[in-house]
Amino acid sequence: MGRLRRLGIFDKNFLITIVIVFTTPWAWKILNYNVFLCLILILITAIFLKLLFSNKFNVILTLILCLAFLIVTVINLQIGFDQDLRKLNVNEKVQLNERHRYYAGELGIIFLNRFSLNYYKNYNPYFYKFQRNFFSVLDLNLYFFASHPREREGISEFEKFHSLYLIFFVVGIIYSFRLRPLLVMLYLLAAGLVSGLISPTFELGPVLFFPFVATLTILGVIWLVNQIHRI
Amino acid sequence: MKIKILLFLIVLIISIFLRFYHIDQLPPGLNADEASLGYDAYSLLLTGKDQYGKSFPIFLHSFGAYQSSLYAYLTTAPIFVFGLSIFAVRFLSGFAGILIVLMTFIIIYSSKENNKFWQALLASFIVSFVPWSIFFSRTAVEANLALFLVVGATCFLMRSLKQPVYFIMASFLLAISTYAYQAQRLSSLIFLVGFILIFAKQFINKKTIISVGIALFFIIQIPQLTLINTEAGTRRLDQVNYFSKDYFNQNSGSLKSVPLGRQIYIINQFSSHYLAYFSPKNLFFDPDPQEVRSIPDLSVFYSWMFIPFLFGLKVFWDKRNESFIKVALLLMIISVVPAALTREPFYTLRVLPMLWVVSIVVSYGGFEILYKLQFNFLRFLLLLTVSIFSIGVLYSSYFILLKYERSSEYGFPYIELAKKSENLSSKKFVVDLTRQSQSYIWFAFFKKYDPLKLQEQGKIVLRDYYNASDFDGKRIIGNVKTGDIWDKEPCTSQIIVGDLLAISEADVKEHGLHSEFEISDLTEKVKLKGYAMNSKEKCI
Repeated sequence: MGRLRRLGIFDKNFLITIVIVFTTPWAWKILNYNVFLCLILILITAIFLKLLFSNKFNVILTLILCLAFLIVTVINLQIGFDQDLRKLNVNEKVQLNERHRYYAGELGIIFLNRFSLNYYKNYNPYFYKFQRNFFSVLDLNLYFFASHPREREGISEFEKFHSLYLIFFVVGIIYSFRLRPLLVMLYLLAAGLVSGLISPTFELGPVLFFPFVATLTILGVIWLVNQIHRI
Repeated sequence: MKIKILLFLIVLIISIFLRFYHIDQLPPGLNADEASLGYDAYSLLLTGKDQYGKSFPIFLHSFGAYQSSLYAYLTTAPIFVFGLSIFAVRFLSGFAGILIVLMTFIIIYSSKENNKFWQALLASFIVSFVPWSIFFSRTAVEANLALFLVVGATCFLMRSLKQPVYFIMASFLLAISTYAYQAQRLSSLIFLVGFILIFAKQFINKKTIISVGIALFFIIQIPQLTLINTEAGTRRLDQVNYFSKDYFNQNSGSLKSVPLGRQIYIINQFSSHYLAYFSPKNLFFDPDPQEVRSIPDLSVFYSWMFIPFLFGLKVFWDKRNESFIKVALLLMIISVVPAALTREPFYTLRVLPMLWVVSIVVSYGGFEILYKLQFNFLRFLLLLTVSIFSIGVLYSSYFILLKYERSSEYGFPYIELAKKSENLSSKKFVVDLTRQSQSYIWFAFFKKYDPLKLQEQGKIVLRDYYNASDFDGKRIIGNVKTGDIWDKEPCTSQIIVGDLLAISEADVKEHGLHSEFEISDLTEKVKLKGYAMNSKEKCI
């Protein structure tokens, strides 16, 4: 019992983490798909939370976080890479050709030169799709309301966190400003950039955001529990 | 000092250019709501009545949606000066857009910030060239006028913290804004009350001024309050909310069988809709789903603005005790409430005050980033890069793609048809209204049709103007009739006009129709077809 206590098993924050993580539908979905992936994501969540509370820069925890992030990235890219980023479907090709006509008519030589045409045909469509994926994963409705009210066409959306947790998440964001806002921003950008390469139809969703949303939700609960304790 | 004035003038010139350059050609045409506002203004100017013959209406019946009327009243002035034209109808919105840029500068310049000139200059620059501000300043929308009034009120509210007498002016502008746009009827009231509550301590000894301000606000509301039980007073919300039992039964899924399911459903709907307005996806990438209210491939902000937005949130948090930040946050939070009560997923027009605050958040974040760069050369380079990139994106999406891909949404084919009917004035046209019941308004607008004659056709509405929300769109505008193209008019030669679904090949054979013309939109896709129907041949 004492050993467990020393490990922090009965720690209030630890218990909150366990409750939040295992009451989210998303965690169970990932667990059913791949136990290893789920465990790493929970590890990232725990380390991320620990780092947010630590006053000093913790080299070891940061390195473990980066390593775990890297592992999830590799797994994620292996099973969910967006093949659409490398090709255009028929509708996209039609649109590209039609717009080519408009741009050529309006811009003349500014558009009809090797450099512009190369960018227009070989980079712009793929950059656009990357941006689409990137901003899709930054949509909070994706996590709390299965993307409602702006569901994406052709994608089976599912609720990842209970919508009730949104309150805790918002409190968590505000609380994180007092702790380590730079860390939060860096994680957000890193997870967003990787998820930009993942297909929006990937059945597990943007898993790198699981630790981010879970941690901030836990943070919100911790803050509220502390406030209640003070009262 | 001279360089500062010069820079400020450059920002103003940019905002004028972006709002008025080819405003009569881009967007290409007029959408039905703009045409209706313009024609109502024309009718009010000439007759003192709207297109249905209602004297000085509080809400405009329009197509049965009851638009706010202030825009139409104020547009009588540009129509008087410039005549009934696209430029005259959009003039007020463009002018309001420039004043918003100017007031943004004044508000931030007069706040307590350090480096306030550069902060204010950057904020006004951002407001002058963000896509939402340009787009809505170049279309005749009541919401942009309402935003101008709200920003003006914010300016006076900030001043009232030093000189409380300005509170009365702010109350007046907020009260007027409720006549400019429907959503303001709720949010202006909450904004005023919220402001008083937040700064209650500062106004504790100024109860008289606060009372006068509040009284003025409510006195100005009296005309609207008298209509609260009419369809005009509540219909807009009834049309678009998700509170009704029918809507719940059709859309709630498994919640139907849960105790308190409807209440849970409403809370869930409100939360998800509210949150959608703060989604980076909706703010920085996806355009508004309504094509007539958005720019192709461009959201309300440029995608790069997401980075300064994040920094700006941090700055707002750090400066959260400053008066302006409190007011801005209040405005941002409350202005989304009316929009979140409606079904549409992301309706930009309803949240312009929120978008204005987000623009300021972006500018604060941008300023923070520039401030952290140590060399002026790097600052200049960064500003130049993002400006050129943004201008490129704006030009490509707004000045090229919108022109071609959205011309149908702006009535381009019907405007061309109106011109054609003028050229063929001896012929009689019948235009199908199955999928475009509002088409008569383009003919009335572009033919400058006598308002008295149009009022005569719509006067049935006058029996109970504010409760007559039904609308059929059947009118006769000179030689153009909008209605059922298959109405039997024996022995009359006429040209019937409809979209591709209205007149099939089988109809052409059966009725012996002869193709007269085809009208395409700017993408060169045929949108309307005209056929001569020579009934005389059948009569012989």
